Amino acid sequence: MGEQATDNPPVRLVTDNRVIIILGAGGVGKTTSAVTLAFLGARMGKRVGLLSIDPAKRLAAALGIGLGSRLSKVKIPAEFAVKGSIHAAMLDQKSVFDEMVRQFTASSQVVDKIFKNSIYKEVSTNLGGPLEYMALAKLQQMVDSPDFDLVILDTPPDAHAIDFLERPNILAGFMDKGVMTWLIKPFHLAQKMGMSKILTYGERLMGGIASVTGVSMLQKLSEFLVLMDDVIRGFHDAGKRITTTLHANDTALMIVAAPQSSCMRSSLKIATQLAHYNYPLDMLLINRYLPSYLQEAAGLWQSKQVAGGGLEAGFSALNRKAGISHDLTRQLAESVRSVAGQEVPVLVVEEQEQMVHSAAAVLEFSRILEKAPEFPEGETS
Amino acid sequence: MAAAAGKRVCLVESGVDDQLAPLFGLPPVGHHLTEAAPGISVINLNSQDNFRDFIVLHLGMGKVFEKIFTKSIVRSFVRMIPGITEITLLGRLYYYCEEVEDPFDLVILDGWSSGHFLGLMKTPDAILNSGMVGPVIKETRKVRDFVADQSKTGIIQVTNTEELVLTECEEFLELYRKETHVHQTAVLINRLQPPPLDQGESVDAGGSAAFARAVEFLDQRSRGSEQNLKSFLERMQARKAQYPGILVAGLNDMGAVPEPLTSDFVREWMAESREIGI
Repeated sequence: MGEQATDNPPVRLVTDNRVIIILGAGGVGKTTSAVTLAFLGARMGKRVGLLSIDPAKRLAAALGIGLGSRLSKVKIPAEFAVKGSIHAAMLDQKSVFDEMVRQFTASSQVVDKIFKNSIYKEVSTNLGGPLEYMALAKLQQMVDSPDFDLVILDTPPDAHAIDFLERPNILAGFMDKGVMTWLIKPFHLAQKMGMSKILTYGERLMGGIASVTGVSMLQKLSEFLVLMDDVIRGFHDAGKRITTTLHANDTALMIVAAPQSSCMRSSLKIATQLAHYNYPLDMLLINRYLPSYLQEAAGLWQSKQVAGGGLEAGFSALNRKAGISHDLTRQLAESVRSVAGQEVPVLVVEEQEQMVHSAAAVLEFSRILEKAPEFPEGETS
Repeated sequence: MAAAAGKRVCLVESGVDDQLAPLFGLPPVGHHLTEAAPGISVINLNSQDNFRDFIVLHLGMGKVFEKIFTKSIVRSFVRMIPGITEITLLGRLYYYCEEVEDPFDLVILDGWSSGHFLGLMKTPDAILNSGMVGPVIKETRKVRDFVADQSKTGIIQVTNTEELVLTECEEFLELYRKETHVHQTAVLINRLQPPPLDQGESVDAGGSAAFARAVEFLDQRSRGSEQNLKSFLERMQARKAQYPGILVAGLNDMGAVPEPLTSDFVREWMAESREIGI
């Protein structure tokens, strides 16, 4: 098995869970945290699957490797003596969509028709909306795989992370309200048979929609959705299963934040949304906390006991940050705990002197994260 | 700056929570256009209200909206239409610039993260290429032409001097160039670090170990930042022909941004902004 570790919350997070979902605002070190937890898991001897659904390529850059839609093994230098493994992938919308169409559609003729459909070509490649559906299906695929002991998902920032959690409900609304049965299929059939007279309630509604979109657009859209019937059902099933997975006891949700006002609002909103969907929050990680020596130095500069010399502008900025860092961290911890529960561990990681851009730096950062103090206990005042 | 120059400005965001209003000391404004300061209005657009506004305000079909689009089965259908969130958001921007009785002089969208924003910019063409026809497509063409018209619309990529973030900025400059028609106006490099110490220069730490360590931290960070920026500018210089007229400008790292913003802070911040050029 892997190396001996402490029993701190980050270690429990990777040892007690099968799935970890990482959420948070942009620019707070979310991807770095995801990669670091993957390394921590690998150090514990786990076989880790790491998936990013952010279309930006931070994950690949952070790992220093070219990542595609297929899972590829992250090379960890032998001298690091890491017993486990990490396989990582970045979600590629087009290839995952094609894969899911093949998987969910029973007829190969329908698959061909879907691939030739002009709306599908654009939806699968150029439109942003389906990305989260692909993520649901891909995540479930990784969770189902016997190859992984731990699956970590790095979500896109802010609103788009919430989108990911909401997608199963959108699909459920579409399926449960019978949109296909009562609106799309009757309209499609009537159009196909050249029936101009509107007969049913559903067709009357479609007539109303067509007064906005035009009949021709609605025809094309209906044709596409009818073709995609099996695929939509497939995503709906995957959505239901992933909802169960996300609520499972061995799934953890974690918010990564930083001591900034905008980030505090985002984190609080995400925590509120999680509570709304009954997802317990397992950890709040506050990155980029100003280390005590920098706070002390800022205090000395502020009181004019020492001058900044050639770094005067740097000390001025540092002083401004020091003035809010601790208060914002406290507010962030209190506000998130107020909606997610007082028992939620809040960990504080100090701003690093070096950027975490290499396997060696990630490994080192995983040791820092492992020992990160809880707020307000520990040295953070 | 634009408002100070006499322009009427609309600041727009589209997120789960309001980030713009608090900068002006306002509570969340949501989907309500609100004057935040003289000459500056703010709004946080959401997709459901955008859709309603499109039908009611843009197409003038308020009765159809009430009769048809408030039905839950129809709402469930609409939520599944690909690209609906993106195109109605762009439609709102177009509306504020071109269609309202008294259009704004400047509409600024605080965009999404790079990947999702690229999807937003690709949406009009994706809808137009999907083979659909009809009134919505006609409106989409108007929006597409508006977004592609460089006299009307430009995008600014905001980055900072971290290596990964600069690399990502370059990748997205290339993707916007190849995959969209949108004009790339500028790259704004935020959190520029002050220059490092000159060779042989030192700072007297007054016997404080913490201060000495802070000097080393700030100096190292400035050196790293300077090196990353230099490499970025060299790479941009080599590809200058691909981005004609693009402005590269910098904003200093102020450490933290006060809320609400104070005029002193903004003046100090903007006074030190500078064109870097490529």
